[in-house]
Amino acid sequence: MTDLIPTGLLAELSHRCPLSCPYCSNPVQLQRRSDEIDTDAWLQVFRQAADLGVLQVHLSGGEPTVRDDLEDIVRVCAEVDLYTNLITSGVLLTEDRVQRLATAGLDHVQLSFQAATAALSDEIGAFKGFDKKLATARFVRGAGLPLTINAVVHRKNLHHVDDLLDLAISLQAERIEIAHTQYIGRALQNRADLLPTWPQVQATNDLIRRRRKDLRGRLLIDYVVPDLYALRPKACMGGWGRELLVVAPNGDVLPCHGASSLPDLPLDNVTENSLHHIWTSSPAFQRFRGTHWMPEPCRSCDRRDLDFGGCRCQAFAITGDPARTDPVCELSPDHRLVDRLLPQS
Amino acid sequence: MNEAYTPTFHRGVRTRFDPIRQAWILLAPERVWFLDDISRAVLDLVDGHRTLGDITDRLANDFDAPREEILTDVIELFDTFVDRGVLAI
Repeated sequence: MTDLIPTGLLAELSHRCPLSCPYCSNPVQLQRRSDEIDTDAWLQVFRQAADLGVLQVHLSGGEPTVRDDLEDIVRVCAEVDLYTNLITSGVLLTEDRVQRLATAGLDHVQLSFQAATAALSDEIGAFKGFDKKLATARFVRGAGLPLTINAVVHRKNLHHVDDLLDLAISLQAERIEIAHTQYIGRALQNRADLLPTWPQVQATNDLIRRRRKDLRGRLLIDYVVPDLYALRPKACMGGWGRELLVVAPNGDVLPCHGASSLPDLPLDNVTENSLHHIWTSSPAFQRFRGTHWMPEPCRSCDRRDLDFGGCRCQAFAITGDPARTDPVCELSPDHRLVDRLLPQS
Repeated sequence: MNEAYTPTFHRGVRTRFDPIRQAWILLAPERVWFLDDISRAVLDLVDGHRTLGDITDRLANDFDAPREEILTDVIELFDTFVDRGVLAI
């Protein structure tokens, strides 16, 4: 049991997506359309989430707009007072549909760009969609909705960061998220093409610092640094089973979107158990919740309640054991494994 | 930031009472904050018309507190919320 109350729910409505980005955070084994739970099951998830204390839902995928019940989902979320966030590539949306989603009660749109130019953006996503994204941004503003531009960055598009900020301004976004790739799953497999060098990362950090000052109050820049270069790990998901639930397309409930990669983690499903039961009692949520599971050096570390031992998926991907200290921590006995992943600069 | 500043919420920002936690919350795109009584009292006065000076006058009156002290607190709070992308400049 737990007294913790989750604030967010990430709903992976479908793993289907027209794009195929080389760093996609979905599991390497994608779920099929025939695995997806139906509309009623999703509506029950959102009603239960509100009862559980969830405040925001992130409607994501894959590409969530492949589902034609998205309007119904947004309407029910709004009815139960959930703040709804649509995370989309934008390539399938029409002006009518954006308008319908706004009318249904959608609160916010996060629109992804793979780069600041059509040529590179379409190359990275392996889909000709850049112009469609620009149009979608206009539809979003036309419907009066707030807009966040999201760009996952890596070696191929890091030189576009400055232009991405200008693009966000020209699209009248309030916010941009520049997130370095998280090197697990597909991105870890493709890291030779993606992982920037330390000087490249430093130059980007400087650029962000400078432009944040200029854009203060106009465009919020959320910047996620690549933690393979960090000295201390991130508090992944705000700590395992502390703030967030993830529901996969088939109804499995996970403490983070990468957790299906972890071994020996039996997942409960929304078609069999209530969200409340899963949050409070399922083995998957209890497994790394709190600090009792921690090995040294985490167990006696004064940062154990700040970073909660870092990312379990990263620990597994790099050390082969999800219960090890996140190896990006320089105190980890496995830290040298991270150095071996880094390119020579 | 000075008394002439007119704070305005960015699009997508709102507050509501959460009956489960028995607390006021501030919601913004992909972010949530829990509000203490002071932050809530200040943000309640943000309507896109009142200036920072107006809001300070009102709070000094409502809480019967020295205006200078209130002003310092209000500026600090608004600065924080501008940094968080909650208030526009």
